[in-house]
Amino acid sequence: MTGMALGLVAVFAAIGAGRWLVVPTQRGDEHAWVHALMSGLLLWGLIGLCLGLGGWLTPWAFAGIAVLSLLGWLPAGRPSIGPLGWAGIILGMVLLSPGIIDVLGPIMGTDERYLHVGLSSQMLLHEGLVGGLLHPNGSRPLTLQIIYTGLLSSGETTALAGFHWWLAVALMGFMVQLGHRHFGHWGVGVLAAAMLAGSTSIQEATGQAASDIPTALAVLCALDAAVTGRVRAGAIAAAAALSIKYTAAAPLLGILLLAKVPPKARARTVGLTVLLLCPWWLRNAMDGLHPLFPFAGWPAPDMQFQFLEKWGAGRDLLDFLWLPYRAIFEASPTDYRFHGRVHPFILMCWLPLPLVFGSRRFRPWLWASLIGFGGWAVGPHWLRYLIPSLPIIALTGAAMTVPLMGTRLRAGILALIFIASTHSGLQGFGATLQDNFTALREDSSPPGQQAIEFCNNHLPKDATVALLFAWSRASLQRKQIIGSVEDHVPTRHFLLKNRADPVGALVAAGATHALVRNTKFQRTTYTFMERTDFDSRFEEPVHSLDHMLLMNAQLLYRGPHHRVYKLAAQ
Amino acid sequence: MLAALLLQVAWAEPPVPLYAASKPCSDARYPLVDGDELIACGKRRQPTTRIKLPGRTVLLDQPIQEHSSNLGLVPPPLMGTSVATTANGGVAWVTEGNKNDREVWWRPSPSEPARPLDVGPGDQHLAIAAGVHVAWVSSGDIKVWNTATDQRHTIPADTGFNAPPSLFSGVVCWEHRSDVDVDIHCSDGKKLTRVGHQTHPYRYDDTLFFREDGLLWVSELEQ
Repeated sequence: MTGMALGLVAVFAAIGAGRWLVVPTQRGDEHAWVHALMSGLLLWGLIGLCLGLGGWLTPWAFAGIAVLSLLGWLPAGRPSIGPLGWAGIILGMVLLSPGIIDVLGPIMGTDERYLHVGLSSQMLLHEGLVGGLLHPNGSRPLTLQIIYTGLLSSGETTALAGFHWWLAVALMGFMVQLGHRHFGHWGVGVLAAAMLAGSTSIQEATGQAASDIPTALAVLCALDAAVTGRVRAGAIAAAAALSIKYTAAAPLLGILLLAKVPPKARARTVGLTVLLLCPWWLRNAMDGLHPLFPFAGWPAPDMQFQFLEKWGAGRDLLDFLWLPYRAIFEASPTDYRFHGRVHPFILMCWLPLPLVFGSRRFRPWLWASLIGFGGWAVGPHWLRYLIPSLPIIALTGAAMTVPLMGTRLRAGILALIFIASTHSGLQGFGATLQDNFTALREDSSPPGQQAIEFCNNHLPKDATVALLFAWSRASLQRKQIIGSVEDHVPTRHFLLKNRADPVGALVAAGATHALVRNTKFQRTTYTFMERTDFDSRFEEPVHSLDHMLLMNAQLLYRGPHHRVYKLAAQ
Repeated sequence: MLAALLLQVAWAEPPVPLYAASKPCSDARYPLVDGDELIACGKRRQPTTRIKLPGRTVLLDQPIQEHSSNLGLVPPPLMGTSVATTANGGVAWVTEGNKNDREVWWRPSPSEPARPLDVGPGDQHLAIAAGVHVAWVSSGDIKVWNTATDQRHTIPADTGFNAPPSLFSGVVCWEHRSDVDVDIHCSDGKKLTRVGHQTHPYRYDDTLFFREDGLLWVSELEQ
């Protein structure tokens, strides 16, 4: 449970650090703790960026920042959470308690392994930022990953997921507060929080080190700030959201366009948000990359970040019209169409929409929800990408529904519908929970762990391993280059760029060894692509790598999923 | 070496794929030749198919009882390596060396202590055994030791970069990097040279099994 405790301390420390950025007259506000939390996360990210550029991302630096941040709780005027906030937090702790099993278990999630924990462990090894074509995952804004690096420097791997779980709890508490603040009824937030907790996509995410829920919390802060006319808090929350995950852009756009804010304040908010984000863009520009790399694609040979055609429920007009229904009732966490499941009541409670469509109070909530949903619909349709908008969608729906529960009979009927449909919202979560139990009990490992074990036990301590078609960054305790994202773009790009001598190029890039995952791209997954394109972009890099390794490297280990090669004379 | 070149004998006929033994395996050690059997994978990607040599009689779906590799060897075998057992009960195995390299150790029998067989500079690895012979790769060359007569000799080879060599009645076959691809050379002068990579040689008498393009191939020697 040390990781859970460290995560909680980190949340308090972030609030302590961020309270200084909250406008003094607003610090006593019962909702200021979440704005302070967002400010703290953003501040830590920017401090981490400066430290990382200087190569000072050390455990001592992180410990110093944490101690200084906690001092924010000492002076008078420290953040207050309020009774409703505490009630919401306790509700969140209860509803999200299944996630604790995942927190305490081994790191199993793909995104955890290659990005959140994997990238953080690399930054800790390098004591600085990693980025560029050799570390494309490190060229995103790294607000959250820098905080994860700090937590990892404690030596307690579960602290990352523990911190994330507490952020999810904070989201629940904040939703309960906001339901009351903006719609005048505590039941709005409780119903919305229950809908989220009754969704497999949320329950599966809470126990992992991830980014969607922190983004959702930041987006909700931005909406709260916009509705209450707070420019600084809005800009900080928006910048925090975008520097955690760019998928926040759609709901933020809805908030920006439709919140009742004077044009001057709107412009100031945008300006401040851009100012807070631009250090990350400048960093990429200084590396000679597009500011939005890797999402803007790879430079020559040009490669895109992902193929949207591979995922989702189709892209015709009719498909988009059916999308809300399909995303709720046809989604499954075990297939790649929506890759998740959310509570059906989230859709049902939007049925009273015509009753509130003209309401000025609902306007920013409705449009943030709709534009957030629209932005999600443009993307790959995976339900976890909807999470940044989901609390707003749930709160808006709950605010439309709760007034209809005027009598006991109606409240009872709606409660019955809610409870009955919760089983559907949590489809697949039972199996996940069982897997998490098994993983915790047996300390099981993801596939490919034997090869990682070989590397950790037998490669020189100063080795640099090129991860080719391989995701397993988190558990490999050596410096690494390349790694993977969707479609293994980093590996394919490197191989196609250096097709004459990929092994020589790997050595020139500093690699001494290579961890290669046995890879075969399925033609059926890329039917939207010409056969010749598929061959040249997908099959050729795999074959060329196998050929060049056979001719120029030495095989050290061959397991069922991975091979380990020595590239250069040691 | 010169003698080997002069004595080179061509393979009688073009190699042919042996589809019965070409199913993908989750264990990359298979398919392999073990004694007078070829062991390959079945539908479930596990080694279940036995092919009796030399007649290549296919016995399907016979579960393979793998011998325990935990022989109490000290120093312990390097992860991912196989222990080589001779007909007279000796075992040779690869361990991790002190300088980021590998060493070969030998234990004549379970009652006798283990001793270093080839340690020090040279990155000794890929130990194999057949009959009373043990062979391993050292600095790219292949060292062959007859454990019965204590005769040793070294074959200049420049190999050991991928699959282990193969040993049959004292004859060694190994992977050889040419300028453009990988071929197979044998210590009795035989060579298999053709377009593409030929890897994982298994010699059985006058037959050579090898892997090419995901299939197991077989080539008969000219009599």
